[in-house]
Amino acid sequence: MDAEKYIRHLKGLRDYKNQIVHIQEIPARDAAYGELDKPLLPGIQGYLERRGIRLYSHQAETINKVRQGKNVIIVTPTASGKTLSFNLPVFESLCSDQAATALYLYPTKALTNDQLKVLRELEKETAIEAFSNIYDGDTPSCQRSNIRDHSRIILSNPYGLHQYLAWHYKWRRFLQNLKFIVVDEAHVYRGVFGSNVAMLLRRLLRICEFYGAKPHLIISSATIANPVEHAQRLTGKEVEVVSNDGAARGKKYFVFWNPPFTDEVKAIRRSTHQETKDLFAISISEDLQTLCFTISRQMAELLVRWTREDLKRKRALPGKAECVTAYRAGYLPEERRDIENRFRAQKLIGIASTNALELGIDIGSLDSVIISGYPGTVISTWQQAGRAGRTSADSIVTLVAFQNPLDQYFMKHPGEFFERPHELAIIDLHNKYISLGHIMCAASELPITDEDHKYFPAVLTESLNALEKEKLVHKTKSGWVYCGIARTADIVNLNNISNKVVTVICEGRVLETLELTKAYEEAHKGAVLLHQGRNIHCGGLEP
Amino acid sequence: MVDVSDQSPCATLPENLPRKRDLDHVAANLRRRSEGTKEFQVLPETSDLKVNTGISQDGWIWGCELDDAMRLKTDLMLKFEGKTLLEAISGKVTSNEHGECYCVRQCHRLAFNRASAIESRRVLLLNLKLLPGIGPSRERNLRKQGYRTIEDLTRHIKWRKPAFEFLRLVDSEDVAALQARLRQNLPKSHALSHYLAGFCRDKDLVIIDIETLGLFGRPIILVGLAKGSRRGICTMQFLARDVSEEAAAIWELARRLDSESAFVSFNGRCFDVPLIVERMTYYGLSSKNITANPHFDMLHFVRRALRDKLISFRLESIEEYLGISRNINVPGALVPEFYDSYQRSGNVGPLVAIVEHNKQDLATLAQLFCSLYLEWDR
Repeated sequence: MDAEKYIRHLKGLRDYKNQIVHIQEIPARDAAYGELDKPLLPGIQGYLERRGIRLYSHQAETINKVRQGKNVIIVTPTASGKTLSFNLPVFESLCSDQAATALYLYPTKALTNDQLKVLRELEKETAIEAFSNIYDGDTPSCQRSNIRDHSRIILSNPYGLHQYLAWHYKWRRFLQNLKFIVVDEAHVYRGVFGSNVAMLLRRLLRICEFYGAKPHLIISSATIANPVEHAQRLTGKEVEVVSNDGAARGKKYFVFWNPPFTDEVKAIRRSTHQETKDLFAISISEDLQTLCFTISRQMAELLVRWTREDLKRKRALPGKAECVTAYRAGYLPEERRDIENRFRAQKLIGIASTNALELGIDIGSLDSVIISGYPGTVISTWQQAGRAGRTSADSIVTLVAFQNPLDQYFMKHPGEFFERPHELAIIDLHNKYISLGHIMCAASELPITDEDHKYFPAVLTESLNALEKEKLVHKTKSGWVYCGIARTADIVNLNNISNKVVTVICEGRVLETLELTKAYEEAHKGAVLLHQGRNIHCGGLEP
Repeated sequence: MVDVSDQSPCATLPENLPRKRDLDHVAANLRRRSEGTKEFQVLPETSDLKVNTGISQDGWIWGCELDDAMRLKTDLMLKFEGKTLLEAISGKVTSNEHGECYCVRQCHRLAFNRASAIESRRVLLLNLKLLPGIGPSRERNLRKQGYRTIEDLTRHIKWRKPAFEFLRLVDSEDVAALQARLRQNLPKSHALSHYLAGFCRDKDLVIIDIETLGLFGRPIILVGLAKGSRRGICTMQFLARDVSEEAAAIWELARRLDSESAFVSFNGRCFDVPLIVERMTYYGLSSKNITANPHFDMLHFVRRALRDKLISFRLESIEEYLGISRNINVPGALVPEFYDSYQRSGNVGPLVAIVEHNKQDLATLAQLFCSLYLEWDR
């Protein structure tokens, strides 16, 4: 597309009231390719050749480092081919060692499903059998032992891992042969959740050591200010960074859009949501494939409804109205898959989404991204902006401001935003509320001995003493042993959010699922729940 | 591992090492939360059990049982206040390479009458369907032609080879192999699988029942086993006086097992044996592969034999059916709570109830193992 022409078009519209306060041009860049220290195995090389893939510099660097046995964190933007750069060395290792296994951890189930497809395809293309499988709360119990006993690549999430560690004796084969732990989207693991995951990974590594395995860590993350520090805190290991993004990209226009005053005296601006809706509808009517990020689930739904109406009535494009849909957490997997596929196939032109699409779900690259309101962090803003960008064409990102002081500040001082470094990803290893719980979990997984100071430094002895006072651990010849009567994983939460899930049933059919806390807000008795632009009147919550 | 503990969490946060008092506070929180989670449901006496059939046999107790048990605990703690374990439960300390534990032995004059090897062989060979390729209709036809047993089939021109093979397997009396073989054609709860016990020698049959602090991932606090003979049954219970004696108690069982040992249990295939394996791994005890041993899990057999006669498959309901009564009872689901009270107070009273409960379970299990043959014959 021609972005400049599109921007001229916007400015020429009857309703245009100088909303564009800044345009930042991010220049196009050619691809930088890299060289491998030694060639890939023929099966894998053949796959790359059939696909016409030449490795970018960051991909080659990652593969070189992983082959040297280093732990790596890759920080390059969305859609730069991070996944390939860690899948290749993993597959190479799985091919040369027929027993080798790898564990992939993703923060959400949706991502896990997406990646399973990629891995299975790679298995087929390279003829390397890994029997890749997902093992999480949705895995039917009849398949579980088969997966534990036979899969060489298992995909899961931290919540699942937290539960499964206590059953490690059933995972003996998998753990004994574990060569890689892949932690994708690691920037999500920051704050309280991140500190919990850091402890969880230490528990995992401790059990690996028990079974004699020394897995390498491959971590991938969105751009953050402190990748090496973050990775080291998360895993407790020496980690090297790869950040020289070599992927080609087209020119990108980053537009700051401030809604116009409706009352200049009182300094009241037009609704951000209405401005977003207009922009979304214009973008769609100009045939730009557009993703619009909203701040809430409800807003994603409302925006779709308004945009459909706008396209039908105001712009007389009823056909296009059918090509707009909402996407958010809570939709059933099949529904999400369907939306992703139709979007990739360009049958859908517009999606309004919550930050559910901020992570690496593959929906292809787009002409236009609209960010309705500053998402709160530079990391998220660039992640969302990264969804726009074709390799050979222009793309456009529009940030629509809210009336709040922070959004308005960036509108007045756009330079501030572009010069701002990405935030630090913070993990606190000293939070006693977090570490104590995990030390208790660890004691229920294997007796804790002096050796374990390397996993839980600083607070181990004091923590064990405190737990002993409450008769939760007991000192034995073998080490400290958990002696409480509750399941440790049940009383220690990874993010202090209840993991109870509520199912919404409409006309006898499962419509969607919600976390309990969200259900209290959005699906209580009398609430109106929005689903794909439809109003669902909630009858009430039943146990 | 890299020691990152000496770095401050980030540039803006001050170094924040917890003080000791704070840790105590957090530990107390965990203790409170653990008391709030229960692994069983308390059902009011009015509940219809038919609705709750999905619940495992230890997954619920009646509300009145909970009240009775709590009263029992208080009574016992009053009665045994200040008493030593020896005064409360007669037994002695036993020791092995993994430490000490407390051993309680008792012999009970109960008839341990079970199917003999001859009877088992007879019952087994009556079932022509055990040969691959013979279904119900073929079996009917063969019977009409006068082939009543698999032994008869050794004279049949078509079936003589598989019949001889099966006979050889039966006469090997290799119970593990026979159990695996039966499972190919029959459900695991089939009476014939129970009859295989006829091929076991008394000394190889190990009746087991363990008491634990929870379903998985928690210690075993009592390992109970029983052996039966013509003279009656003897129970041996290995009690961990505290959790540090768990490994020794488990070892007392493990060292008595060999490849010939056959378990008799109640839900032991899914619970007791996997948990023993889990705990042996936890302590790094030599792990014999005890999951491959022959196993007669009475829960499976009871479900099949008595499915219309019992309202639930808890051992207590089965006792009612068998006409056995208990003098003191703590429902299995409350054992963790009883042990926890002992752990925290040092009062041995609750242990009396646990040991008695386990002993009764073992005795009932032995009786069930014998008397179920009568049910199969009906």
